[in-house]
Amino acid sequence: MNPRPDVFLHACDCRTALGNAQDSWQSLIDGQIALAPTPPLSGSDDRVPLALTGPLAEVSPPRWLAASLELLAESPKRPWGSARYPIVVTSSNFGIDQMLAFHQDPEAVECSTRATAVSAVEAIAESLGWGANRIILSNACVSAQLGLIHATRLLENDLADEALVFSFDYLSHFVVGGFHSLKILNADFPQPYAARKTGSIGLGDGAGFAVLSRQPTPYRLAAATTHSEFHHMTGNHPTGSGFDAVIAPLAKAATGHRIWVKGHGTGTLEAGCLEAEAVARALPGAPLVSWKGSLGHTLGSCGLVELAIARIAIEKNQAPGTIGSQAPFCADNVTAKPFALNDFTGVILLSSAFGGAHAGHLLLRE
Amino acid sequence: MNKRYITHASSRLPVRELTEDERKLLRKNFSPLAARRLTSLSLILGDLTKDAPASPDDEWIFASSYGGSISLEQYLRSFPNPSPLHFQNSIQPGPIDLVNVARQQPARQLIPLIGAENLLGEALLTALISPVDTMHLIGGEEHTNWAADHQLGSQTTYGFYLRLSTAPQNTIGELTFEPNTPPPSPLSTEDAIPLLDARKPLAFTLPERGVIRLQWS
Repeated sequence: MNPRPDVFLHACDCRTALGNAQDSWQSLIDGQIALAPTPPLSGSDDRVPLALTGPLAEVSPPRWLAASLELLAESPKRPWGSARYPIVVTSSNFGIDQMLAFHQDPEAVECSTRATAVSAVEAIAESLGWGANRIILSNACVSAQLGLIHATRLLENDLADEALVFSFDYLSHFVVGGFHSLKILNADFPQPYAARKTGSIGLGDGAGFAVLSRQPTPYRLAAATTHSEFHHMTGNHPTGSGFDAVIAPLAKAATGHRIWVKGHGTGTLEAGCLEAEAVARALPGAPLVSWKGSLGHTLGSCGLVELAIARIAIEKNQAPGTIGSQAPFCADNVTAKPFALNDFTGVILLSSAFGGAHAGHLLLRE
Repeated sequence: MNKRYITHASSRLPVRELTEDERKLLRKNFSPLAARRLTSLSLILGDLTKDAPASPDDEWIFASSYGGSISLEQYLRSFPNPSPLHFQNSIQPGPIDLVNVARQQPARQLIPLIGAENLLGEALLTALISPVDTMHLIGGEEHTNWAADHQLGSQTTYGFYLRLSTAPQNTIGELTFEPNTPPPSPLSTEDAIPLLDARKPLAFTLPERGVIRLQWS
């Protein structure tokens, strides 16, 4: 059996409420918090932390369309969607804002044309002239990292020369109302990994892309793992076994490297502590950070958004700390302040989702 | 990469909606508490997979164009007082998440695919490029009135399941990928289910890339 070929990161970028990957990285280093108190529903007296790139309104054309096209205009020019250049599109929202708008106003017929995942992706594909070799993948907040894994497998099996992974999640009352109804999106700002009495999250707009190839670059996707607990729809197994299952293989793959960890860290109490403790067990001494205390949780796209920011951090030799969080933390490895990366050779990137889904990547700088 | 063996296959033919008697029967696959949360598609997926062995090292593929349409529609209707239960159930891939949570069945990975005309072909290719020994390819749709009336959901309710293995033991068929082969006629997922149910050979085109064939022993 032939060994699997190595797969490398050729290009990536993102859009957040703080700008592109470079601007987002700089703002995170400066300690800027993009989240701002915002009503979760029209007429609500409540305020919840959202990091928006535009008004929280279901409008036509949707906010995500122009933003996606603008971001993708910066991706390398290839015959995307042709036989050897597949596209993997991921999201946990797609055009759900348009679905809500049409449901609430049957006269908003134009919204219905971009309301499903397929039609939302088609709207982007038509504008960019993409071919038919594209796949749509959605597993809540691990979507983007699953997209990276699918693209990697296409490359490993010589079904592609290069692969484009694109993810977009723009907030609407659909998702903001949903998390607010679950009470984990509340008036408190998120403090990932902080040992507080209660947890809370923030949400943010986000989109990102990555181009993967077998041609070497300094950034190798050296390992990827996934695990689905299926213990509870919105909770993790209390032993942290799900986090262990995804982190341990990455720690093993990182043997001999000095590693830092960009965790999922949304600000929920139980999951945050389980993740921090699992990282500390598997990678003693590896600094752990989360950026969702500033950017908010960019949902299905967080894996690509945070990959793009991590790559800038590696280029600049400085990683942003866990913005917005204050000690005491769930584990000693949580790092609040920015730190130098001169001595580090790799980063582990983690995300988690409903159903106890976990995904992780090891990105090595070579 | 080019071959997987089919060790289990089951399907439920497209109908507009399940009857109450059918739902009642399918609920018996689950505890009463779990069954209360399950809509038609989850009940079908649970029934199709009830006799297939699964392990935590397996990967699952969930192929559906619309996913949990019933929960989605219930959640939309709950505005301006959003329902937390319908919200979490409406998030893709809710229908299969709920089944595996009810069974406390962990997995290596769940790959939920969404698509239109090439969905089943892409799902089969996804199974072929997986590095694990056992893949569970499952999919289907559920009908709801509002979504179907506006072409935002499926017109029918159905499901299918294939257990795929790298090992050529206890096989009932095989799955192969033939690169650069002239394409057969297009075949939608819904049109494929009766052929799958009758164990007829199937072929799916992946544009410019090749053909995936499903043949029975």
